[in-house]
Amino acid sequence: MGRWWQLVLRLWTVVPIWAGDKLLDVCMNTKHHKREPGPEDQLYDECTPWKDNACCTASTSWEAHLDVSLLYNFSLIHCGLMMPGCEKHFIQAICFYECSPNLGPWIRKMDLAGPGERILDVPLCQEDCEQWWEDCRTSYTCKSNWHGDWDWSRGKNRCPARAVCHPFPHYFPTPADLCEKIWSNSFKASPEGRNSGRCLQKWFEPTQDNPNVAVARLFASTAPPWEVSYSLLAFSLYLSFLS
Amino acid sequence: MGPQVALLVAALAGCLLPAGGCVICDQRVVAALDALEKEYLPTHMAERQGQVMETIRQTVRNFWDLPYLEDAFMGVIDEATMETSVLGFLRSMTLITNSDIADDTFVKEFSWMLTLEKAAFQRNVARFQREDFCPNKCGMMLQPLIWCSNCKKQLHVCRKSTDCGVRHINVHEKEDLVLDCELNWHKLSQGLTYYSFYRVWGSNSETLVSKGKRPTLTKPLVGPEDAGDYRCELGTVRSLPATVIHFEVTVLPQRIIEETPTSNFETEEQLSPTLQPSEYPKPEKVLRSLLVGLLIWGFVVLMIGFVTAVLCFLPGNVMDSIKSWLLANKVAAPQSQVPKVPKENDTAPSDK
Repeated sequence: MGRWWQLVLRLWTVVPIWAGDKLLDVCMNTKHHKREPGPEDQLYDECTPWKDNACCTASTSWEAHLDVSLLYNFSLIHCGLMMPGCEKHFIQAICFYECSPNLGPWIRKMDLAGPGERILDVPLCQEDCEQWWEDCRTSYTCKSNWHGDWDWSRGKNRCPARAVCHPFPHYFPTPADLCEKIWSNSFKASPEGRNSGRCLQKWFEPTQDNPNVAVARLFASTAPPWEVSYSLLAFSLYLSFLS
Repeated sequence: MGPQVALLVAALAGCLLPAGGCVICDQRVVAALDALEKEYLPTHMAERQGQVMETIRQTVRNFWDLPYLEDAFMGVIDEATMETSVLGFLRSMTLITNSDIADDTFVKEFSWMLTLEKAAFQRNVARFQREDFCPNKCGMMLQPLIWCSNCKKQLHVCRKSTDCGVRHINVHEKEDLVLDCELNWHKLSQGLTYYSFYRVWGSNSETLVSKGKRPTLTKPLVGPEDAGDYRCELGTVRSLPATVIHFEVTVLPQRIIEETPTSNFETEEQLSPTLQPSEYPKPEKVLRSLLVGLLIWGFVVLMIGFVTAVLCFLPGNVMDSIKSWLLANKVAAPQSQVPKVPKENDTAPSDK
């Protein structure tokens, strides 16, 4: 019976590692992402930090920089031109979303039927949300959730009829509101800081190594899939009853 | 009356300021409104200030509120559009303050003026948005713009494409190769640094040929070794270039020059490489010489005709006098020889 215990214990340690590997170095399954992450030497401007290992192509990185991104026909200028400092944060966020190979632990299926995927609750470091919010105070928008309810009648999203353009703080009173509500909880405002190793940066210096690799590994290993751990627990309990 | 008017004036001035207008960003407009508040209104407004003020306030609040549309208004304008709009607004304001109108007339005129100015501003901004906003058709331009919401002047990044295409250049041997990297919007962009020209070898290797403020590269007297790929780049203060243009240069055989050299002492190298082969003389020169020739011959013919007419049609006595004058000259010539002959006859008979 002792040998059974040992086997269960080994399974217990192996399974999380196996599950963890599938969450690292992966790309989401969407229209613009590559199948597998890899080096890209022609990434444009704000997307260059991911050149060593990226889920985006050179043309996707270019399109991430346009006021009306060709990626989703989404217009950042629905309430007029953004201030350059604010626009930069959005471009960085789009690069992060399109290029990062470290979002594995937060990838979810869009709906159970289709193949499409999205991210959910990616913990962004506190400085990232705060600087983004601060630099966008003088820019304008007309909605607090950018994922739905636009007027698409002219090909690009426009403010719906009763939505008035106000400065960002009107629709996003706090940095957490901005990070979380702008893309329906794709991001989460983490209370951790950049050097804690427990939150992701939406951008980093191109000369730096990608600091999100270690963070993704941490989140991948501490969270084994709950179905497997429950079944292991049940099995080990059954074994303990048998012995 | 004093404090009420002051309130009225303050309210009027106050309304124009935070409404997020564009023209209000200009110091001259602020000064003109201050003058209106402190100098004009105290002496020209008497009663019904509250109601009147509310009407003006409403008009003023809606002044700068334009819908956001890509071809009409994006919340930004450039310096030139600002200048045009400010000058127009100040002119209209001056017309009213110079007219010295007061009370109801003033309110009516001022409101009407604001309506007209709003329409003018809308037209100016629409023209700017259509024609001058991000005028580059390729590359990346840094355009200085003024944001109407907070009057800040910043550089907007106009991204159109990553590169500006390939140009095919043909040049004849021994002539000059000129690569021009300048596009018409370069002069309007800010944040530009240097034009760099590179010679491109294969897919991964380049050598820098020149770098500086001049947008053209000139290589005189090209030979076959100068054919190939070149690349020019206009740098910016950011990490990316504003413009990248590729050139594919083909060197064609030397052009045959048909006119002979003017001096036998000139060597081939000293001949100007840009000498044009003169297959025929220029058409203007031909025409000019023809014209001059015609004029000369016409004049000669005219003279001959004149002389002929004079000789044929002059009155008879004049002709006779001319003839006799001519004959007299002829008779005078042989007269000098006649006296010698009779002298010889006289001496002969005296000897008998």
